Amino acid sequence: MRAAATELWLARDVVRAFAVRAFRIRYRQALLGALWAVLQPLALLVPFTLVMRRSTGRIDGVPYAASTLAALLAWQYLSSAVTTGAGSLVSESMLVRKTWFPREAPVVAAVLASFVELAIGLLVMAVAGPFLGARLGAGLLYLPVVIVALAVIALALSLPLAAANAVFRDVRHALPFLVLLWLFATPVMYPVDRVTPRWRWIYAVANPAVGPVDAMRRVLATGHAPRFGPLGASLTSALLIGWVGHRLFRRIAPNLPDVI
Amino acid sequence: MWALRFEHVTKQYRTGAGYRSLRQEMTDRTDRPASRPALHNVSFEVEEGEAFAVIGPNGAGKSTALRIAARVTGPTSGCVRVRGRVGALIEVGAGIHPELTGRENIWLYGAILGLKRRDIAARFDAIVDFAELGDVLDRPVKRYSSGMQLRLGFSIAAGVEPDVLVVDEALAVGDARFQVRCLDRMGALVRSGTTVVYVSHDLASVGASCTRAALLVDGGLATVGPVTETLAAYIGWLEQQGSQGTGAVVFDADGQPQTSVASGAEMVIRVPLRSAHLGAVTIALGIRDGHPWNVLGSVTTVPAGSALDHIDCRIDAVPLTAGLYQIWVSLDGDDRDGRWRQLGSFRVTEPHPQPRPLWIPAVAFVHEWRTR
Repeated sequence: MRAAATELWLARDVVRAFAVRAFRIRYRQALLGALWAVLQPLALLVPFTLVMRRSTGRIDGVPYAASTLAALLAWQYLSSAVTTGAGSLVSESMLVRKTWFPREAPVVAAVLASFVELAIGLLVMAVAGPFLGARLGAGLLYLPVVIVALAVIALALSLPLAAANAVFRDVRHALPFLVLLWLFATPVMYPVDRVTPRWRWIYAVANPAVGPVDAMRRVLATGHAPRFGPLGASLTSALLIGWVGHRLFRRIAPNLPDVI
Repeated sequence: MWALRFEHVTKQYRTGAGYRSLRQEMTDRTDRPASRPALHNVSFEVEEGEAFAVIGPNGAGKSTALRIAARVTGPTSGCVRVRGRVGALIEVGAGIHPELTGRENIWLYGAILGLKRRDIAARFDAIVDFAELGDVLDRPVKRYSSGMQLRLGFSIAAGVEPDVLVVDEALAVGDARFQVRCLDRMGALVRSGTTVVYVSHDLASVGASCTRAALLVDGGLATVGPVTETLAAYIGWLEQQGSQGTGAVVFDADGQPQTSVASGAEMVIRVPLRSAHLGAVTIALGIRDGHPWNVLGSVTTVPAGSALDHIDCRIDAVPLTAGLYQIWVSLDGDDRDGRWRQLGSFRVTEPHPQPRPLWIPAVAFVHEWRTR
């Protein structure tokens, strides 16, 4: 892990080049360009609100739509980072086959490039949030912590998925479906307190998206500090997944050009 | 001091290349038969600042050795050590991303090769100049011709001033003028202390541009040493394989197929025409000494309506010094496209060969040096 981190740091220009490119290519030849980053969470927000608002009521004391938009931003980042991260090695296969660079570089770059979408999403929240009933508060200061947690979780899941995808393209077919299931399993359209407190930490460990999505709601929509219990549980789980996943990644990495 | 060092390198590719689906992987648990390793226990050293060649027949593991040297793929066992930064040109378009523009590619590949942004900026113009891309620099590389891609790839790999430059036979794709500039550039790099590792099965060009060479046969290291010795070993190996017969293009005065002739002796070059043709065909014959131009040449025309299997060119006294030569032919007219193709190669021997430095043409002529 240390060796990989050193290698990556030395190759930070490569990571930067990959990240810039990942973002450029994503919206190249797309009519609406980066506007897609705004449209996706908004498009999900409408049906969620129509269907769930009545039965759910206010979340943490703020209207359903405000809280859910915050959760959707975190979700949008995770799903986009993990999807592009998982596909990153394969989409760089031209370079993987013929040059050497730290093989983590495209994965890290994909996770970083998705921050641009998150940033656009945060702008949307800043504009639309007050109308929907979001409250500002000192909890907003925790936003960087939540963002770092999101990135850690995205990277932890992307590394093993990217390596697996390079060897078995099954991952590519399974991923959209798994991401959809993951959305239902994550407290995005419903609040985390639908799960009884006794099971909540197991929930947050089993699904590392639980902690940061809930934290995002608190920080952006209510202005309170995040609930550190679920956030810590999710982060711990993500670090464990990341550690195992990176070992797997490193086993496959040297022979990537032969199998990709 | 070595710049590149192979230590007992073995590389075994998985059998049934290409990727497998999860289902195949789970259902097919039988032990797959182990294929012959692409490289088997290969050890050699390349000295700092030398021009080193890796030669051998097809499938001998040359490209695998190069890919391992460039860290693209890892050895199955053993170890490869490199001092410094490796610039690699493996196949056309290596390190070039088709979706990016030429400009973006220079930045990306420069970063991959470990250059800081300001180092790339400092070399940027020189790279662009050498590649002669000019106004297409901001177009995606997928719209480039293969020649342009090659120029870009070589310019970046050589332009970032690596400590070790690894070049595959990709160069053969470029036009003659660019090949000359590449060889020139490689020569300049070697003079300025860069180590160049060159893979080719074009023996004449290896003989002309390298000082030491390794011969790989069937994944094993057969010989490593001065280029003349390694080339001799390879030619010996080729002759042993009996690669005579249908492909023979060089014959001696008695009509016997030969792979080498003595300087000043008679020789015959046979150019196959194969099909019966209706139109007139212009045949241009060229002999090259490893550089991409002809040192000897002649043109003849076969009139329309003649159905010939081949045409012979008889040379009374071979006017060449000791070395390796290629035979190139261009057929034009009728349905032929007039492109130069390599027909074969042969060796010229002399009883007392003089070492010939690079850039001195190989034509033998009667002359003497005088001080007054």
